[in-house]
Amino acid sequence: MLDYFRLLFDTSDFTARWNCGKWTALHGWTHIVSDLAIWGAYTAIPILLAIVALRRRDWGFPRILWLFVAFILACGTTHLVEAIIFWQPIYRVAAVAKVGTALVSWTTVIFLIYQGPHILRLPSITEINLRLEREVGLRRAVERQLVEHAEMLQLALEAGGIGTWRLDLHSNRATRNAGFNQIFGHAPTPSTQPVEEVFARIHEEDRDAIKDAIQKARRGESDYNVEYRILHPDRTTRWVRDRAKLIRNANGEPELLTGAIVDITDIRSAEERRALLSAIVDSTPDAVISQSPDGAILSWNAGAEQTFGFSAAEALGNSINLIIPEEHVDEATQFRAAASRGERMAHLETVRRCKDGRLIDIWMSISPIFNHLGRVTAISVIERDITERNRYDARLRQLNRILQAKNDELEQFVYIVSHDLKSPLVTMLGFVGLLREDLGSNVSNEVKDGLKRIENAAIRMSGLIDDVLELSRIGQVQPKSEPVDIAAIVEQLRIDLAQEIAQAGARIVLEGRNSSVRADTRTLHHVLQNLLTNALKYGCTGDNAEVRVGTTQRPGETLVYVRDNGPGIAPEHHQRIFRMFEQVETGRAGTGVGLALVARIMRAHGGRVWVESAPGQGATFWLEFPDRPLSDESDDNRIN
Amino acid sequence: MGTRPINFLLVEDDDDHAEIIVRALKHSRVASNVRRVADGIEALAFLRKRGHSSTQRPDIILLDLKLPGLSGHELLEIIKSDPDLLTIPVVVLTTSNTERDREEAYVRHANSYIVKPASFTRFREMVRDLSLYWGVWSPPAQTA
Repeated sequence: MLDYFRLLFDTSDFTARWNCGKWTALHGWTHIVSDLAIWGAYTAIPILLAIVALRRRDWGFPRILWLFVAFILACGTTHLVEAIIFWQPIYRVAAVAKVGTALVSWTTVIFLIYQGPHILRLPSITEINLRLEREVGLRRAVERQLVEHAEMLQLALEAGGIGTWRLDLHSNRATRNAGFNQIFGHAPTPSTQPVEEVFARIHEEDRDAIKDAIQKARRGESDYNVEYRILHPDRTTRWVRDRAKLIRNANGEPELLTGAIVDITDIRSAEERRALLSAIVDSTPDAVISQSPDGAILSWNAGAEQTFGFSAAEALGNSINLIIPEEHVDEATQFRAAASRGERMAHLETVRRCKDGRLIDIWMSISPIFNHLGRVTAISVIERDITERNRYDARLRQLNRILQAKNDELEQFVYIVSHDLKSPLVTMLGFVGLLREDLGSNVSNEVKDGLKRIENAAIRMSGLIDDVLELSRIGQVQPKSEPVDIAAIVEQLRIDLAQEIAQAGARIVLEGRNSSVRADTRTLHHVLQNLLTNALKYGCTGDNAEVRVGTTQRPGETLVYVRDNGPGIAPEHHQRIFRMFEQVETGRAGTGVGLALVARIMRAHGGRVWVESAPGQGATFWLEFPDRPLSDESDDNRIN
Repeated sequence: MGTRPINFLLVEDDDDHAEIIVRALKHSRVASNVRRVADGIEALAFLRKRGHSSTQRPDIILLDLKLPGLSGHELLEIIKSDPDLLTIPVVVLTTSNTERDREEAYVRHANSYIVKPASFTRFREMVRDLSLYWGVWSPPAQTA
């Protein structure tokens, strides 16, 4: 065997084929040329195949190609050797070449047998094209759907005011869509920037909570779901709700957070408002109850629990008759019916029954609740326990009655006493006068003096009684307010006080143009009588004594004055003289009640009285009557 | 021109007041016959006496309000609703100066309401004026 390969290229044992047989040139060269041509082709083909194989690496069976390359090259080699043998009989080489070729060829056959079915399964070009077309069609349809979905999503986001964002957990950059930026009050265009810049817009009190939520989401501990405040560029605060999901990469590591955010300011303020209203209802001590039009209790606040004793659990769902005594059920039904028709009623007073059976007085208002279509769907009732108040009222009325009765008693008493006191005075004065006339002038001065003193004393007493009577009357009666003619009063007084005027040797002069004042006639008469009497008594000491009565008008009030040209009153006495039983001079007669009465009368008119005087300069008493009418009642009324 | 005396019926429970009125009439020189009764019952009995000659029938009734038993107002009402009596002028003569008493009197058709003066002189003048106004008396030629 080894010798064989040692002598592979040895040609000494063999003859060149030209010399072996009778080869014609044509015959011989036909073999040689053909063999060479075959060798050429069998070399070129493999080279081409190799190029294809190298170029088209996507050909699924490269090994087959390389096997073909191999066996064709091998086969070509055998033909080359055959051509060479015509000159160099390298038969040993030829044998090797042929064995090699056979081996490779049979390898190829075996390979083909095994790979054949696979190759057969390769679709034809047409089939491939069909498939491609179908796939393209499908892809296009899916694309269209995708576009549609994307549009719908966009619409949904816009309609819902939802913004979307993505936080890259590695770079910490936040990508935001147009909606997000709009929610934050910026221009509605998408943007990407470091997350710190987004945080700048978030309310500082809420930042920590958000950072914490991000961390928790990142670690997979909880979902990201937060509500927080953001600041708009115009410094207004909005509330937002923010939700996100964690996306992990292929290795299960957190890669990004993708979220959606929505402005909930309106919802929140509505919620706050609702909470406030709810708190108001819950905090009021009044019972606030809502019921259906047929009386089923729909809501029952804390005040109702306290007022009636039923808890909300006990009350809800039950009929409102739970708290209505039998005799008031019809009335309550009627109220409900009226409310169902849309009527509102307030300031109703009725009776309710508590859980413990007690009956309480309540004040209530009842109003319908309309739904958006204008139908009455519920009725709201507010009830307040007024049992206590009613008790106070009753007591107050009772006290008032007692007071009124006492008042009446007092009035009666004063009246009776005064009249009973007056009667003997009439007698006294009557008989003193009679005595004078009977005795004539033929009596001693002592007798005359005695009679005079009795008379004076009786007159004083009479005046006092009149004043006391008037004083008691003032407290009882509402002063009238009507136009009073002062001139007429003065005229009357000239007559009534004729004696005093004569005694004082004075004149009464009426001054001023306007002599009408709004007052109570009787009391004004009394006041002027009092002042005039005073003036005549104290202010008319010298000759040419004059008492002037007049009026002046000032905006909003009318002033009446009684002026004398007498000795005047020292300033230190100006206040004292208006007090009861205070007298300036003990020598002069005076009842002591008069000016106090005048002061009281003026007060009752809403006005006042004061004096302007100085020693030696006479005295002017001023009465001030405000112009506003006190009352238009034409009759005396009891004080209620 | 009647110079006959005026018939007064004085319904007054206070003796002193009654005396003053009588004396006042005397001092004013008014010719008068005064019949005095102390209460309403007596007054009515007198007024309704049958067989009254017209000369005895009162020309004026002076009525005090404060009477025992039947009050002055009640008596006034009775007189003014009796067709026989209502033509007689009734002058309420009382110490009371209250609106109420005044009103009550006028409501019951009193012809006049006079408060008893606290002075004899005035009493005298009052009864004279009264007589002139209501009575059938005219003063004698010479002034009194």
